[in-house]
Amino acid sequence: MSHLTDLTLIAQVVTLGSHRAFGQLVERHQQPVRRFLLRLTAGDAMLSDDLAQETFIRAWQGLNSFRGTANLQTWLTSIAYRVFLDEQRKRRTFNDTPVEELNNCPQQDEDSGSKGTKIDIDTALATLSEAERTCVILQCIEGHSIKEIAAITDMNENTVKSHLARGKNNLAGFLRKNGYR
Amino acid sequence: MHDKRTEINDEQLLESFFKEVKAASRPLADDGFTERVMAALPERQSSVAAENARLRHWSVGLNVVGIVAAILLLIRLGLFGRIQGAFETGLLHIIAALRAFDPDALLVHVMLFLRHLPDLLPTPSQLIILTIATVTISAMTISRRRTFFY
Repeated sequence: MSHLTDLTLIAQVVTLGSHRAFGQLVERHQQPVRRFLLRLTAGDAMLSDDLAQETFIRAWQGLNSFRGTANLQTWLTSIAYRVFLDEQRKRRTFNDTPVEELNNCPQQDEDSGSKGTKIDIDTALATLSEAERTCVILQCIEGHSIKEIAAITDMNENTVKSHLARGKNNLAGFLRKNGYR
Repeated sequence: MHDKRTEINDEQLLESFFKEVKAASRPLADDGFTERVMAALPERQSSVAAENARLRHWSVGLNVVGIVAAILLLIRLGLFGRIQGAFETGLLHIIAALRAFDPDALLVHVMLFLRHLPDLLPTPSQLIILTIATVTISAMTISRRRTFFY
């Protein structure tokens, strides 16, 4: 039902350029996109919101290319991932703080909502490589299937599986080392 | 065997860890995010509107090219002078006809026309051909318009 409504709203955006319909889509999908980017940016709420905004602007411009074969959420997540990679590339070019090291910044984690956890999720995720972290976030936090992760990250399914296996193994090792039971 | 057991333990450990993470996470409030996105959206034309605008531009452009080409052709063939001559001759004939206008002669012509009117009506076979031709031309015109607009 939600999928159908999304398609109706997309049709209104594509054919009429309706701002109101796009506003409804943003309202509906902002949370998973922002949460995904918040985890990728190691809990930097301000940066992740900027990237989420850029994600929706790109979606607005490229909605004509959405064919409806994938879920809209998966499509938006794939845009968010590309926006994140572009940001990371930009930071590397200008010798800025890499996104994966942002969890050392003091202003982070205002809204990450993991304060009650004994081991901070962003600290734990920061021990993984970028590809491992992305796959683990997408599967263990966002609940995407391996096929969807492959579509989002543009990797093949076997690569996703091996990143997941290594990432989970490293994460479990980190948790054990830090006394998590 | 040992590896398999470790793997299962790892899965359980991670499952419990992420369960805690999810339980502790609050939903992210919109906090004006949607409004900020909407305010930052660039102008965007719908694809249909863009296509219509593109067709309109082409149509105007081709009309201009056609008109200019027609004028150049008329000049090149010296047809302007001939057209002017034809108009002048036509005008002179009309003036002469008006001068020689005779109401009685007109009445005779009308009576003759009415008398021979049955001979001027088309035969059934001519009527069928005429109907077929009209339908064909109408259908072609409609299909051309559809091709242009869609």
